[in-house]
Amino acid sequence: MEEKNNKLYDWKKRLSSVHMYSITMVALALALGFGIYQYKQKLNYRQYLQNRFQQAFYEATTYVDNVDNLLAKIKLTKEPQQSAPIFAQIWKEAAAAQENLGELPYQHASVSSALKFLSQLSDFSFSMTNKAIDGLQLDEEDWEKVSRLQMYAQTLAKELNDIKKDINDGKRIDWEEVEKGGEEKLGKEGATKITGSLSEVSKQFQDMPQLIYDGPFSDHIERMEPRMIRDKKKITKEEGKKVVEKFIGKDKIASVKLTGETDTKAEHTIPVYSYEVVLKDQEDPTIAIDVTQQGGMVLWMLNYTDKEKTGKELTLDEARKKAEKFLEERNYPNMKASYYEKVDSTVVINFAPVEDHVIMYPDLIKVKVSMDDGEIIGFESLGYIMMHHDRKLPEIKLTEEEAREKIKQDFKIKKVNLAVIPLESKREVLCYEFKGEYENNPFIVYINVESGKQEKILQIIQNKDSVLTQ
Amino acid sequence: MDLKKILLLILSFAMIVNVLYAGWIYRVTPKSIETASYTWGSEGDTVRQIQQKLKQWGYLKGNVDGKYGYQTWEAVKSFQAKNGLKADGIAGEQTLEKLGIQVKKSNQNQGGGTSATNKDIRLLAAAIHGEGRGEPYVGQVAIGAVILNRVRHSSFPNSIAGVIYQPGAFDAVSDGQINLEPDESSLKAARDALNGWDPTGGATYYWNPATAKSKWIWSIPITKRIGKHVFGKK
Repeated sequence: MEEKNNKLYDWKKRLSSVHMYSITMVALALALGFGIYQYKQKLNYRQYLQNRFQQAFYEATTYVDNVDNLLAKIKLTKEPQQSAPIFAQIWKEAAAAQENLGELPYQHASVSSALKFLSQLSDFSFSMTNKAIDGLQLDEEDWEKVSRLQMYAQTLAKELNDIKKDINDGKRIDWEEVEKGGEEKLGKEGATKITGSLSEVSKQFQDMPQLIYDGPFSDHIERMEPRMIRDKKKITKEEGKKVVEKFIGKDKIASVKLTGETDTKAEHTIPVYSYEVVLKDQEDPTIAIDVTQQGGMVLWMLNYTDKEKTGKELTLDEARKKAEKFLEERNYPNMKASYYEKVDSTVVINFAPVEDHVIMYPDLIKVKVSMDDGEIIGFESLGYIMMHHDRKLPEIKLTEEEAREKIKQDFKIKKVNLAVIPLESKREVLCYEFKGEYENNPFIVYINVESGKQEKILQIIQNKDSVLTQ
Repeated sequence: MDLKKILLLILSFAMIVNVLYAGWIYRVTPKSIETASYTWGSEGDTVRQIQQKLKQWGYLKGNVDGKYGYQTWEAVKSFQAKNGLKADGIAGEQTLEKLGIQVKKSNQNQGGGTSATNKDIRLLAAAIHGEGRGEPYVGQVAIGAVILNRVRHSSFPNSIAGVIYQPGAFDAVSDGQINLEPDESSLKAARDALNGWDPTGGATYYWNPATAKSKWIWSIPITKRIGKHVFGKK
């Protein structure tokens, strides 16, 4: 004890020597220097980020200004060939504005309607460009939409330019502040407006009317109803359980548990019951499955067990046959396999029904097969449930020969089918499907049976494990 | 003397803080799988994966706890014996391969792929891994589905990268967890999501009710609950 105290005292004495003192000072100076360096680094990064945001902001403003300007000009065009180039410009400028605005650190709630507006404007202009290219006159409804879009473009351009004016008056946008200050801060009475915030736009864009046109961002897509089940009766949870048992095979199941159901308040979604299945040789659930509340159809199923490798592997043909049998037994008749992709030891195969020799591509069903033992480990039928119905097909006005003439001459056609294909707007068209080769690469060309219009070109990506389209 | 004492005190305090801070940084910095061999005392996600597989296939009797203990060792041994490997109870590269667990080397050729849908698998899997580690498998597919639903939605950016890196959109991007090596389960979930499986009913948002700070988020109609997350669309 005594000795220890002595040592401690000794140490203390040594520390208080001048020598030790200077070492301490040097260490402190080093720490301080390091701190300053780190701080400067941080400032540099912060500035860099601010500059990036500033750039995106200025670019967004420029593009919105251009859009506003072009929308004013387009109303002066009369013939389709006059409108087409301007619509094409709006299409591009609006997309660039959307991209830049989307990069800014706004709270999503305050900027989402402006982003939606720009997406739709760009998409709408693309569909108008196509219409004009087809030589069709824009109708009154189209022009009404243009006017309405112009109104919103003006509002957006004005707010962005007001912010720009603030900047010119010497205010700075603190993007960190913008990111943090959400609607809470803005919502309070008397709160000062953060420089750079888009509060006006988010308020005025709230009740933007629906925009319906022939494109993927049109509002009608969200509101589409599932054709297969919309008129069907609602089933109970117990009945849903029976559907699950029948789908997977009652003899394989140890237990089925309801894990949830779609909230009744959710709009534009297919209400389902969700179940979890424990198989007989397992302890834990390994299958998740959703059954639609209306009509009691299986929406999707996933078996996520990892299979122990058996060493052997099915061929793709065997796997396809397993999937075909599976579908037939579950009352999906006449399904034809089209594309597939194999990853590791599973393959996902796309199926579409064939009715009177016409392939119905919108009514898509995907089946996932394990190549280890041929078990069906996945099923997905959103396309089928949304789209499958008795179609009244349009009258075929073009012969196959006439349709062939619409395609580039050196495209070597190998196979022809009739097919209903979905366009991006989900509009369906009946087409001749020409499969063939061009410059040694496989392609599919779709020619509309009524108008002779080339609706789509697909490139087929083919390798040893998959056939996909692009 | 007193001044020196104070200085000394400050300095030693600063040093302790420094050491603690360095330790903390080291702990939270994402580490990828480096050793391709696991045995007694190993811990972490890969051990958990090993245990999960062994349990599913009936080799492991104990719990999946991410700690390589006696039961795991026994299970690995019997798995090795059955699969013609040297039964030493050490999960090395060969054993991991037989278990179907990706070790780092083979992971590097994962992202490539030739098909069109493969291009963004890696990025999507990284986002799923960062956001949904520890979630049930279906919950991981659901996170992937939300990202893809956003890509198709008009009020979000129109590419997978655009959606994932949108400022403030995902916590795992903000705090850098997206740079973690995606595990096998995330890659699988990303693939299922890209192939069209959507457990969320078309949701474009999800949040964790226990930690969600924004009041606004609760104004979004809920479609589904999976694992710790609530899914919704507006």
